[in-house]
Amino acid sequence: MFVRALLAVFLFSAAGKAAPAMPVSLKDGSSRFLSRSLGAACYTMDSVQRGLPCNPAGIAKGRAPRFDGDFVIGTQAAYLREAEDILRGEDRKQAVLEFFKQRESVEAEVSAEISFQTAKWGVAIEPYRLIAVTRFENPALPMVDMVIAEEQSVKGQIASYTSENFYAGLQVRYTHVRYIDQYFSLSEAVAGNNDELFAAQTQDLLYIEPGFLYAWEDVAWQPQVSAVLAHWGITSKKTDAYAVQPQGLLGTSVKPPMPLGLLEVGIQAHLQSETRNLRDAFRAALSYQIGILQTVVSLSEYDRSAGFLLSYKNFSTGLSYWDENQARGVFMQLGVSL
Amino acid sequence: MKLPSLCLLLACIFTLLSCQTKEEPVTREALLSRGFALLDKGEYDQAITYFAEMAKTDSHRHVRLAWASAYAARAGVQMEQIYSFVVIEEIQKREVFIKGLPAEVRAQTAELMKSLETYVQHWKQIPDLSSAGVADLVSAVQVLDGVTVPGPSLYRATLRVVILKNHVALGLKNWKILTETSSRRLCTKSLRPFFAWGVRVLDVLAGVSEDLQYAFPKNKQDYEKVSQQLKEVKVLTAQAVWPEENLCL
Repeated sequence: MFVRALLAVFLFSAAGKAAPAMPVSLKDGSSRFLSRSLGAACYTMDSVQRGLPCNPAGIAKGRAPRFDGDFVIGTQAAYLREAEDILRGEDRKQAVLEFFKQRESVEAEVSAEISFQTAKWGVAIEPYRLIAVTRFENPALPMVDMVIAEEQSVKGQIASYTSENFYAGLQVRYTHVRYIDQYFSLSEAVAGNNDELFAAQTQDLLYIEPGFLYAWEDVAWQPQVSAVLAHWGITSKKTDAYAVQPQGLLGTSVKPPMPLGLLEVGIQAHLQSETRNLRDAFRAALSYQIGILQTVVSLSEYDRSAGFLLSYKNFSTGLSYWDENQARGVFMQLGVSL
Repeated sequence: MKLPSLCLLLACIFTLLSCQTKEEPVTREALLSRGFALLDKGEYDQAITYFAEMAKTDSHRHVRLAWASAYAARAGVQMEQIYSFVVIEEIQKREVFIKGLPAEVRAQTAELMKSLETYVQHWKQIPDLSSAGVADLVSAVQVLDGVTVPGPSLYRATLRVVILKNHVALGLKNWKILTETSSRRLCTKSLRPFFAWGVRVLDVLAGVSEDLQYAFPKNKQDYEKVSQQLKEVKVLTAQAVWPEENLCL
């Protein structure tokens, strides 16, 4: 009966809304490489380990103390120099001309993060992250939906094993962001008053994100069920680009025994106010690790990603290809773990 | 915690999420996207009608820009073809004056020619349109009439430049026909339409100059001077008297 109730509200949660310029996935608090390669499925899968786990409850699953430093950069990073100039108002006119010369949809990102975790808690600092997201419509006179944002974040996780395979955790995440969020025509971008168009605003956000994990670790396939309430919190001001939009994530994963290597398969249901229909809410992912190489594939109704992570001694490097309907990119990760 | 309790807790979480069941208002951007989807499919007539209807209830500059761009799309004018003119901000003034030293004159002339060459390169990229296409661009300019904010003013100026090029091209074509078919004699009767054509070209130039005053407010004084000069020329042309008899050269 409880399961039926759960399914009923789950199905009832679907509500449609046009996607804003800033995809919700880019406001995710998870480690960037995990987010780019697994998407929302990282909340239920724990075989890919870079930085703090996406689900805070997962930190209590017997993790040894570790320190991670990660640098992630995307192939469209060539746009980021002009994006930063536009954001800071430096040589803005030239930066605008260069930025919109190509007129292709862009989702560029660069970030640096350091994290430390033990068996029960973890903390991560992301001192710099720059995102540029643009969407173009109408070749006759391009209308541009643009977000350029510079973020600094700090997050902490605490978790505990309670009883009977059940873990509970909490993540608190603070983000300070300086950004431009505008919808405009290309002629407005190069006309005389673009100082007002590209005026930056700042915002502070505090998220409180509980997570739960039910893991049957003694069973052969090690199934686990996870539930997370993400993006629930408060903000210094209400804006469309950085609106507080709680999301419910419910997922399950299994680790089938393999003669060689470690395989994990997961499926995640992800509900938010932007979800158009139930089919959009699901994401499937697969991770296979053998030796120093770990490959990852994930897909949903509207995007797909595939990547690999090479870990040798204290160093790791990863590559992730991500493809959405209007944009695609390759993201590279360089990391060190101690 | 027992599994049923866990499920109950999860049900509570998702109940909180499901509380937002009201319909979200459809944004202007979402409505514009529907029109742009028609343009992407090549359904220009439907797109023009769609944006015209939208403009009846929402006269925001983005709606009028979309409507004007639908006319431009039907005329076959894409931003790729006119972007170089959109980004030309200043009419570069070059004063050629003789100071007595030939080398200086040569240097100034060379600089002037370089500027002109740049403009010629941009000019060549402007598309040639049919008469229906030019009519569509005239409609697009009319849609943006009265809008004085910089972005739409710049787009209107750019569309006028496309109209200008096509007017000039048509005039030159007709001149070529005239000079090739006439029996070495040019008469005032056949030259008069070209005078009217010249006045029309002046009108378009005056429109461009006025639009640029709004597009680049910081350079308003420069464009006002150009507008004033064009007005003076137009006054002179209005005073010109054509002979009644057909005089031939």
